Amino acid sequence: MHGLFWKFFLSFWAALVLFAAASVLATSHYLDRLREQEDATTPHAQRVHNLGAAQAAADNAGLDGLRRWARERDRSQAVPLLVIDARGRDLLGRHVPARLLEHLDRQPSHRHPPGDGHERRPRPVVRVADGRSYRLIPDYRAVTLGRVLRRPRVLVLPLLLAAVVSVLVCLALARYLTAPIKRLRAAAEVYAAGNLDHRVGPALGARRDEIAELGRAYDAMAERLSALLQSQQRLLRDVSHELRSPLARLQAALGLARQRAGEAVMPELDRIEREADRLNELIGQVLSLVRLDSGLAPPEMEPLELGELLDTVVGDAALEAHARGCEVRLEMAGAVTVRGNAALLHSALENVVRNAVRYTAPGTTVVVATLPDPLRPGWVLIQVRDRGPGVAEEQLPRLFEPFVRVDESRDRASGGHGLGLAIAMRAVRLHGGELDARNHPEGGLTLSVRLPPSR
Amino acid sequence: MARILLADDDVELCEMLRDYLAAEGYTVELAHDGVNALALASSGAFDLVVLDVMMPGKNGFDVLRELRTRALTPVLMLTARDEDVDAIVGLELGADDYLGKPCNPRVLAARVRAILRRAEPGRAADEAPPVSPYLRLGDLEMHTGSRAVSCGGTAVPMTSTEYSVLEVLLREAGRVVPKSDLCERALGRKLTRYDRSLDMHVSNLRRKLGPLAHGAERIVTVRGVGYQYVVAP
Repeated sequence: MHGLFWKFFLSFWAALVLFAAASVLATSHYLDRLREQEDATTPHAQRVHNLGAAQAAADNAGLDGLRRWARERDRSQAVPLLVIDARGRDLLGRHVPARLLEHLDRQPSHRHPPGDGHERRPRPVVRVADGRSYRLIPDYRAVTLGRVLRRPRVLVLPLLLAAVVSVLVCLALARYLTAPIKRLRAAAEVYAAGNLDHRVGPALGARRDEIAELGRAYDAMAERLSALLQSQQRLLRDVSHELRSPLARLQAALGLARQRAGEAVMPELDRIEREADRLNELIGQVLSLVRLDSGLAPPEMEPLELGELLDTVVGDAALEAHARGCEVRLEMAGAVTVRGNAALLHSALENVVRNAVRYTAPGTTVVVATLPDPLRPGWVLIQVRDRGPGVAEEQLPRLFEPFVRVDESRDRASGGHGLGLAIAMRAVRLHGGELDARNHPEGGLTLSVRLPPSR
Repeated sequence: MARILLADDDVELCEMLRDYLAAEGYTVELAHDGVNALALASSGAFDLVVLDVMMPGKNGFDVLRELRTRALTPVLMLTARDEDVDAIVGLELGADDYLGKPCNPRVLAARVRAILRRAEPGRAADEAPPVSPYLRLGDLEMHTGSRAVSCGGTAVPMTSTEYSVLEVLLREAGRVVPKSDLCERALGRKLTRYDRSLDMHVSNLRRKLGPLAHGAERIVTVRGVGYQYVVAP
């Protein structure tokens, strides 16, 4: 349990401890080196060494040589060695503390008499060819952490080690964490795309931590959702089937009534028959929607002549359109063969075209055009454009949801059920195609059906 | 007066349809389960059986399958409107036609009329009485009076609808008969979209008659147009 918690905790903790240890180690390593230097040589010998080196540099290249030597030494050593001229200023422009100057001022008057034991100790003075002289004074108090850190040469190895190790730890941790989350996301996307049988469990393997628990919870949720969806579909299907029995009796009774009734009631009987047919059609739509959603029984696909299909669709829709004083025009760009199920594709295109006919303004023309898809080579694009009021932008995606009424009052008046486009969408998707809706800049709605190449 | 057996488990619906068909001039008897329906249909007392798929006891397919082993009585299947498969299975088993439920009784009566008309001996849908009662082509022989078909000297039993389809194709042998023509002349109704009836009847005919002597298909499908009975070279 809580595997991930401990992994997080321990790896962060370990990385921090490691880094702190490396820093301490580096500092102590540096201080050790400093002490070793001092131990190996007496302060006096060191001073003699420095003086010799400085003098040699000054002899070789004069003041510039001395400056170079001083700069080089300043970079590599922790204790700054000030090079002070007669006016008490450092050759490299470094700050010269007042106490050192005081010390210097006192020195000339503090001459050691010859032979008092200090004779061997030469005055730390470097003479340059032009006659100027500089004193070398170490400033021990200037050894600060800041100065040490500014000299990376002494710290580089331990710090590099710490950095590399912590990078590796963090990389491994990040990978360990994000890889299963990516798989979870991929699974959620597959599920959202409609594959309700997809589960994430197998992809997480033998993990036993919080992410595996998340995956299992996700799977349980997916399972529950699928079950709910299935029972909802079953309910819808069963209700629709059950509605058919009374409807069949209604139609039989209607037939009897027609046989027995006089002319006077015929308009009413016609009306009843029309409504019964409408009810029947609605039930049929619900059932085909449920069937398309269930994904059962993949339809038989065969090569279809798109022109023939559209001819019949447009021909039927034109009858409906004429009743409202509208036209439907078909513009085919050459013969196109698509692979599909004739009945399904017919119902998809019929729903799209009838939707356009339903909403186009009286006296206008609905244009059905096929053209090569400009976005995808080889695909065919079928555009159906009406001259109606269009649809509010934010409502466009909802157009394809079942039973969604985009504009309530008008939809009811036109007798739509809000199912046609939902069926069309599913049928087009079943063919590997796409269906979308866009408002035309010059008014009206354009529905685009895209179908993949037949091969 | 034609006698019709109406087999459907919806009692109220059956009674109303019986009254409707009676007014159209038919005598109708009812059966509400498969076993009863099979027993009545096999009795030979009916000119037509209207058979619903969903029935308790034996379903419509089982009844049809068993009935076809005994008799060629014309059968009109009532199938769930959205189950194309049901229609195909029914036709494959030898139904003469199918109708999706719920259906308008007017349409039902029209189908009944069409089936009964082609089952009437000696009268093809729209042919004038032939000079010779025999139609012969290659190994195939049809007697238009008794509606008997023999192929290579062997009698081939077929439903009256299959006979009608074959007769039209044979009269037009060597020519392609458009589906819509074939539907109107053989089935006596207009071709509806995605109607599989003709395809199934033709496939039943192919199965029953077998290929031509030299192994070629007897009835070829001309995609998007119709069917053609091949005249052997």
